[in-house]
Amino acid sequence: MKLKTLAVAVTAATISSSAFALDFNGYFRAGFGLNADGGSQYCYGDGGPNAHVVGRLGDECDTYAELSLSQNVVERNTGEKFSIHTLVAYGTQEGNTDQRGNSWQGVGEATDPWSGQRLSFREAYAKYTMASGTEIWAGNRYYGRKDVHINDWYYVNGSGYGAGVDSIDLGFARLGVAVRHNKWHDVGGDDSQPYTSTPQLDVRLSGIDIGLGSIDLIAMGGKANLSDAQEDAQTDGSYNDKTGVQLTAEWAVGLPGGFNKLVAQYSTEGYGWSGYGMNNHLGDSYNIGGGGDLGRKSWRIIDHGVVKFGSNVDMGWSAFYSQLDQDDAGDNNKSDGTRYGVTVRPRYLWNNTMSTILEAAYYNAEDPWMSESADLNKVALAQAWSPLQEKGGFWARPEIRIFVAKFGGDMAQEKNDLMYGAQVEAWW
Amino acid sequence: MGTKLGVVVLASMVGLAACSSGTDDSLLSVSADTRYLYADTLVTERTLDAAPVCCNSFEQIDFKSINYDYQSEEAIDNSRQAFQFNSGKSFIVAYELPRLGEDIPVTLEAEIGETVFAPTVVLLNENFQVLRVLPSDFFKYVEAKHFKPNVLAGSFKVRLASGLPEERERYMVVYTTDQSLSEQTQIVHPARTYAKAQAKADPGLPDPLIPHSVMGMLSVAFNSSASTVFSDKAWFGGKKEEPLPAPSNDASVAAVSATSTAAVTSSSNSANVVAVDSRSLKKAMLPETESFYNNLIEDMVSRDEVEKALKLVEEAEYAGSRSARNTFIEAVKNK
Repeated sequence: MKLKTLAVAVTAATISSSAFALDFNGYFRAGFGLNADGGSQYCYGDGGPNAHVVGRLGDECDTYAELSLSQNVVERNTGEKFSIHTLVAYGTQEGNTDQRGNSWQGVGEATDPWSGQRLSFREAYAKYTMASGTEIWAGNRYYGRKDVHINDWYYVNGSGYGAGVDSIDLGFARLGVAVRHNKWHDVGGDDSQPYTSTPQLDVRLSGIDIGLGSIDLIAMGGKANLSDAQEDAQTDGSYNDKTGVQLTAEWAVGLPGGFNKLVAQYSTEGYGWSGYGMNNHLGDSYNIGGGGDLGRKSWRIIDHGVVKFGSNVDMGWSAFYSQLDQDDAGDNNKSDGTRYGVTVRPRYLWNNTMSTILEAAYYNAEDPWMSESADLNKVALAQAWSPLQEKGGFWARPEIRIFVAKFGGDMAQEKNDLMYGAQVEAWW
Repeated sequence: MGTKLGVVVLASMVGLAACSSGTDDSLLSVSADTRYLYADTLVTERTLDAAPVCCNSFEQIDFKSINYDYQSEEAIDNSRQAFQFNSGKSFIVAYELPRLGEDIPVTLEAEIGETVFAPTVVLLNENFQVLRVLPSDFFKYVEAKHFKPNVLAGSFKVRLASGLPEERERYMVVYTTDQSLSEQTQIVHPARTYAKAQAKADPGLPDPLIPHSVMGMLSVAFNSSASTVFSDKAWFGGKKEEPLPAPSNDASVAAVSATSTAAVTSSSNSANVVAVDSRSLKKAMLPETESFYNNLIEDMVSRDEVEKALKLVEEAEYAGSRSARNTFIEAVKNK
């Protein structure tokens, strides 16, 4: 009673005065799935290194959350400001199997489904914004991520520890330059340097207006940075000492209720594998693995987008074609690979709130070590409830959904091909 | 066994989905469909054209009487009265304002969908004369963020207690004008808003232009406390609040065609009203009366009669008390 009266009193008597907002953003997904043949949900993609090649609807076996707090620390009337940014992420173990336990809590072994599992501090950086809009930053952050939502696929991901100068206005485009520092595996040979150092350079031109839409250009370079002792300990070909290059061009056009993006990417050496097929997070690390990892080159063409047809129907889609070439011909004397796929997610909107979603996808791969191609397909159906009117149609969240997903094709596993369940996805 | 269980659960889910996809009165489809409010402007204009003009003067409008804490989502459609302003015909939302001893803040937010109702506000005195007009450009675009949609928003105080009785605002009418209907509002592309929230690269898409419509959704909040956990306002720390843009006093926007009492006051007159500060004008009440009210308020709070206590606060303030509200808050705190 007291609380209630206090609430009334506050509402009646208070008029707020301050406005220096703590910026609270975030994301989560959680839910469960069952296998029609008994058991838990089985997933063909995960949110991590392997994107969902046949779409993420009905194919997510994890709980994942991000909580982000940012704040302007100083704002001068010159327009300059300093801001700090943090983001913590929580998740159950990624993988094809369902690791969601009784509840998500921190008991048991790290690999137990009911353990706390993954926790990471993904953003801790500060930014100085000049009066001109140019930004200087350093720390650990998400940087320039480009994704296809329906596949949970980050075809560019410049995230990690780094420093840079961003949003330099060149008139025809904005220029951003960043240096990142990553680690690859322990190559041995130096007790004081247990892990290898792999710095990267990231240069971007964004928002080049070409009349019909705009173009973004990205160039990344990476190279191993080994200590003398580490180098001395390596034999020829046990690690990649070549400079790798990643080039991306993206053309974005607005469509009714959405957009279309056409992307072309070319990647060599340590970027070669991440830039192949629907491999994820290109740019958040540089692979200096030796042996079969050497001499890779890959390219891919991606088209993805969202469009709204009238007030009752909208659709998201992605299509890609990719090729890989590497030095190592492997056992079956083949050094090239091909992957392609298409995912469509049309949706019927019943009213402001409820929608029926269909997600249909086809994926085909013939990797260097495969003698013939194999495919995977999926048809998923979901009934969903979300604030469609208020939160921008396709991007409306939270979305509460019940789903059923049927997998088929060469890669589909017998007894692991029909899943159903319920899930929520939210962002703010 | 597993298959059977699967089929049963699956069937029940499909059943849920099926029954929820039907008419509005089915179990799971509790949400009304307000998409018609954002229909193509050609369609909504036809709806307005077909609506009969309700009245010839402001006096004849069917004003809704509201409380000091009125908050509502108002759908603007053909269930509303249509009024012929000099600035054009419009559906209206019309309020009779509460009688209080102080000016109170009000926030109007027009929700942006495929279209938006760009509001203009006219405030009338007890004789239905125009005191103030807030033109549609008073309401600024606010990008969707956190838990709020894209809106055209504006906050101002209604002058319930300022100046002489005929200078006090007694009625408020929200409408739109032909001029604003010919304009558009540029919003940030929702994919860009989403990218900002999720720390993704700006997709660099052109920001769409939203046409203004004669229909739409308006959220109205009198005396709302903006400082809740989930608002976009500060939790702690901070700098001073952004000053409110000065409202226009150009009353000609609201000039009504009828030659009734809804005459237009000169802008210099209404400018005088702007300068009036209610608190400096009001005479202090007798200390005896003030403490009498305060005792009554404390008494009501101690008997859990919060509503009565609040009424007393209003009465006391109307009579000039400056301690009633604090007495109320202290009483609740100490309970």
